[in-house]
Amino acid sequence: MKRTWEEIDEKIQRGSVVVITAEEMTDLAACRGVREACRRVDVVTTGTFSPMCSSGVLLNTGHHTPRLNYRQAWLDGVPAYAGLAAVDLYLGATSQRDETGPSEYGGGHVIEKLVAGGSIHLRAEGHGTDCYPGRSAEPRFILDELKDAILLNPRNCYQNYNVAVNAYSEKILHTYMGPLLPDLRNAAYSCAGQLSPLLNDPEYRTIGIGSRIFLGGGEGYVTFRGTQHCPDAERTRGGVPTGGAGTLFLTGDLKGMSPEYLRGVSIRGYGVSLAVGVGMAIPVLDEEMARFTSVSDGEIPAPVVDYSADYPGMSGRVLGMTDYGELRSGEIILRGRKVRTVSLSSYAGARKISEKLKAMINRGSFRLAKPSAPIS
Amino acid sequence: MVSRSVMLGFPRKCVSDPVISDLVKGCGIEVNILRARIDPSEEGRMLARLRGPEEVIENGLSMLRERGVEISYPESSFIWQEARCVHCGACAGICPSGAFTICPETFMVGFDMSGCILCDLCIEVCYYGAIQSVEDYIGGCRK
Repeated sequence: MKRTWEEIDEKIQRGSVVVITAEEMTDLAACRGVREACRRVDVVTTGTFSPMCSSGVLLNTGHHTPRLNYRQAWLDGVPAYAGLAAVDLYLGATSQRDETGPSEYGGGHVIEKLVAGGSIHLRAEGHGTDCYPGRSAEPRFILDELKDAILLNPRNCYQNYNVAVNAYSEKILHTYMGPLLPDLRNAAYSCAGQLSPLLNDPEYRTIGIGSRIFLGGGEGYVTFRGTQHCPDAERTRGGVPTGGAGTLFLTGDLKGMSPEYLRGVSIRGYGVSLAVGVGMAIPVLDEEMARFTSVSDGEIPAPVVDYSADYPGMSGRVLGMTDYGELRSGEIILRGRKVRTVSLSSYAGARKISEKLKAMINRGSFRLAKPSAPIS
Repeated sequence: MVSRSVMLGFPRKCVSDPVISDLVKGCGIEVNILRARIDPSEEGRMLARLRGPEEVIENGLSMLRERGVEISYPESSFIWQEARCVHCGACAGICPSGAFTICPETFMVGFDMSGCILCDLCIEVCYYGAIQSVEDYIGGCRK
């Protein structure tokens, strides 16, 4: 049983496509088998909603009178990168208002405020040259007044990730995985598991450069492999990476996105970031794709890593392995003891996105785009 | 004797009245002020724990209402704004008493005050500012 991208697209346009979420695909394949699931289903939708630090927005404010070439800039007091052409700025999600230490307000919050329609204060400084005589400006603007606002995320959707614990330190560790209690008293994870996009297409057969995606409540694209993309990571017999592996570079028009799926986050003792909602639709081209999309939480392993010494010291040591079925149950067994699990990724959010994307495809308002090149 | 936490809202017109003093001296209620922000030129809010015979507390609260004080029952030192919650479940993973839970079917966060021991760990792990200390809430500062 095989089907092509073109056949699936025709079905979407005719309104006869069969689309289900990755959770439903897991259940269907468990009840009826992979072959039957493949026969019945055209498209499987995935989702993830989690802090993704390597995110940001590229803004173009339009020119000033007289012209000003931004050399330094702050948005609501948060430093932005101005080493681009005249009025282009890049604001990273983890840029902080208070540069002396972990801050409670930063790039992620400015992005959320922008997309929610809030008014942003820009302070920009230039050198003053013959062609760009301006030296400073302090305008306020809202998203609609910007010439361009492009979400530009160089590393999103990590394919699997560490489970963080504190094995050796006697004090609470404040990490990007949240507070880690001494003596292995909690374990933090951040992955949508069986709903996660790249865990449903572990060999990047259908997700590639040019894939159209649900991004931040609007539409976006996979524009390249993400930074630190590592397709050669160790895998299970089923093809699932046993730790962090693939990553995606995502881009989309911020105009049209929603603060429901782009949320500034503030992590005490660490800093700030942006939670991003992403959804991808995977075509069931053949039985292999049906098998990939029917992966269950219990089949996805996750490495447990100490964040008191091993992670900061780059030791590469893994304390043990667990899986997302156990993690989502609320506790895992580590060194013979029960350890409570804490999720940073919202499974309810991932589920909502996969359902939303399914509804969009059923309505014909979201069409799959075949990649023009693979990411591996 | 019973004790009850109350959130008192003072409209501008009664900010200058000694209402708490009347509650203590006039009604005989023990008042433990946990957090307060009262500015003569604005409205004020106060989180207080009242202790006394039930009837006496009821009378005291009636007196406050007659004087225009708004009364609500937060029964905790923090406010969970469900509208800002993304249901990641970080609070449920750290809550030592099981007051915050995550539903195994819907994966949505739920909160049951009766289990809360006011340790405030949930405030620290909520990256989204959905759980705020009453102090921050009273101060009107959103994280």
